[in-house]
Amino acid sequence: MAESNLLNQNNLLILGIVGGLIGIYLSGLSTIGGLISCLGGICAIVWGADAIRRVASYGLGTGVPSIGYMSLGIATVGSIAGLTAVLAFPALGGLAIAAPILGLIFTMIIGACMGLVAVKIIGMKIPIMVRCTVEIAGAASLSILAFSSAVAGGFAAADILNYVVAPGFIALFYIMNCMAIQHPYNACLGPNEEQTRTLKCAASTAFLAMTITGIIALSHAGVVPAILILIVGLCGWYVSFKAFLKASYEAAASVKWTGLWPKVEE
Amino acid sequence: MDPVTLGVVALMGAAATIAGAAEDLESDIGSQSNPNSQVQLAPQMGHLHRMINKAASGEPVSYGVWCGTAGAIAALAISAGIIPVVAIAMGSTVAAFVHAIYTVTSHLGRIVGQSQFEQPLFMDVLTQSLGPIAAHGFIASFGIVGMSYLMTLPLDGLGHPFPLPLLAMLWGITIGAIGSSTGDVHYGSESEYQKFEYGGGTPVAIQGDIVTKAPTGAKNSIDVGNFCAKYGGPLTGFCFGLIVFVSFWITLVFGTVPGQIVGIVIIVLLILGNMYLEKFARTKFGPYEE
Repeated sequence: MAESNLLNQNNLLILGIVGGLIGIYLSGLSTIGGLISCLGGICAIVWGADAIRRVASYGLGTGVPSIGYMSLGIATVGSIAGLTAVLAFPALGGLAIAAPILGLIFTMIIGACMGLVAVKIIGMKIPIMVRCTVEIAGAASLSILAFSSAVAGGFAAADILNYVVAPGFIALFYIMNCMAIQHPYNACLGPNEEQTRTLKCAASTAFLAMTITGIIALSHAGVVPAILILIVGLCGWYVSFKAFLKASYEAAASVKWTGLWPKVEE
Repeated sequence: MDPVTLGVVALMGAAATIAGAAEDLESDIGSQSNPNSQVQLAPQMGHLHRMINKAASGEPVSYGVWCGTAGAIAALAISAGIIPVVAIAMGSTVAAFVHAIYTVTSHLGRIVGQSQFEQPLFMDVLTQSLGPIAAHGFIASFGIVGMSYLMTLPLDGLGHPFPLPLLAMLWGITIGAIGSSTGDVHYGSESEYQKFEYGGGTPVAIQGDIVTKAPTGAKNSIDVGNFCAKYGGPLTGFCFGLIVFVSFWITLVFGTVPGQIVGIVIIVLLILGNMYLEKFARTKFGPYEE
C-alpha cells in the first residue's frame, strides 16, 4: 500500500462539504445556478472517492463497490427525507431553507448507524469504518442533491420531487454517482496505487457524471443552463482524463503499443 | 389473455435474450467480475499477460449505470417527440461512450496499480478491445432499455407504473447479476483455466495461474470472447430471456395469484433439473470423486 497522502483528509472533507453546500445553495441562480451546483457536486464526489480510498485500503477488495452501493442507498433515502421533512411536517416550514443541510445530517446519522452495525454486530476490524461510512454517505448525499438541484433549477422539495424523482432521474443519479465515487479507487487499486492519481481519476468520473447531468438538465432547467453544464463538464472531463492518462503513463512499469511482455524471474 | 400483450412479452423475451448474450460476451472480453480477479492476480503469480483488466465495479453496478444512462436519455428524447426506437439508440450510444471511458480508466488504473510486478501497460490491447466492448455494451443497453420501454406500454397486463430510467436501471442491475453468475462459469473455469482438468473448479491454490499464451503468440481478450461465444454468451442470454419471458408469461396466462403458484412450481422443477444435470455432468466428465 503506497502511503503517499499528499492531500490531507480533513481538507478534502472541508472541500466536499463547503463546496457541495455552496453549489446547492446557489443552484437557484438563473443561467449559472445549475453549473455552480454541479461543480459543488464534483467537490463532494472527490471527497467521497478519497474516503472510499481510505476505508478500502484495509483490504476491502470486492467490497469497494459494495460500500459505494450501500452509501449511495443511504444517501438517496437520507437526502429525500431531509428535503421532504418540511413537506411532511408543515410545522417545520421555517426550516425549508435548511433542507439540504437536513438531508446531509439525516444521511450522516444513517451512515453512522450502518457503520456501527458493521463494526459492532458484523465485527469488521476496520478502525475508521464508522467515520468513513459517514463521510462516503455524506459525500453521496451532497452529490445527489447537487445534481438534482441542477436539473430542478433549485433545491425546493416540490421541484425535486416533480422533476427528478417522478421522472425516475433519481435512479440514474443514485447509480451514476455510486460509480463516480467508488470507481476511482476500485479502478486504481493495487500495491502501487497512489492518492493523486486516484483523485485525478475521481475528477474525471465526476466530470463525466456532470456531463450526463447536463443532458438530463435539458428536461427542465432550460437549454442554456443545460448546455453550459454539458460543455463545462466535457472540458473538465477532458482535462482531468488527460491528467490521469499522463500520471498512469509515468507510473507504469512500461508502456507498449505492441509486442510481448518482458521476461521476469518468477 | 390478450394476444397482443403476449406478442409484446415474446418480443421482450427476445430483446432480453440478445441483451443477455451481448452482456456476457462483453464482460468476458473485458474480464470483468470474477474472472477479473484472476487477471488481476496473474502478474503477482509471475504470469504477465496481454488481457484487458476492466475493473469497472461489478457487473450489476456497471450495467445499472450504462442502462440507467441509456434509459434516462431515451426517456428525455421520447418526451421531446423523437420516435422510441431512435431515442433508445441515442441513449445507448451515450451509454456506450460512458462504458468505453470507464473501461479505459479501469484498465489503466489496475495495470499501473501493480507496476512493481513489471506488468507492461499494453495500449494496443486496450484499443483493440475497446470497440467490441462498447459495441456489445451498446447492444445490451439497447435490448434492456427496449425491453423496459415495452413494459411501460399501455397494454392489458403491462403498463408498468415506474418511469423508464428507473426500470432501465433496475433491469440493468439484474442483467449484470445474471451475466456475472451464469456467464462467469464459462470463462473462469474453462478459458482462463483450460490447462487444468475440467470440473475441478478454481481452488485458491491455482488462483491467478491463468493461461496467457495462445496457439500463436499471446492469448488476448478477443480470444476469450470468441471462446465464450459458443456456449457462455448464448446460455446467459437464454437464461435472462427465460427469466423475463416466464416472469411475465405466468401472470398473463394464469392471472395474478395462480401465476405466482405456477412460478413457484417452475422454480422447483428448475432446481431439480439443475441438480440432476450437474450431478450427471460431474460424474460423467469431471475429476470429482466421492
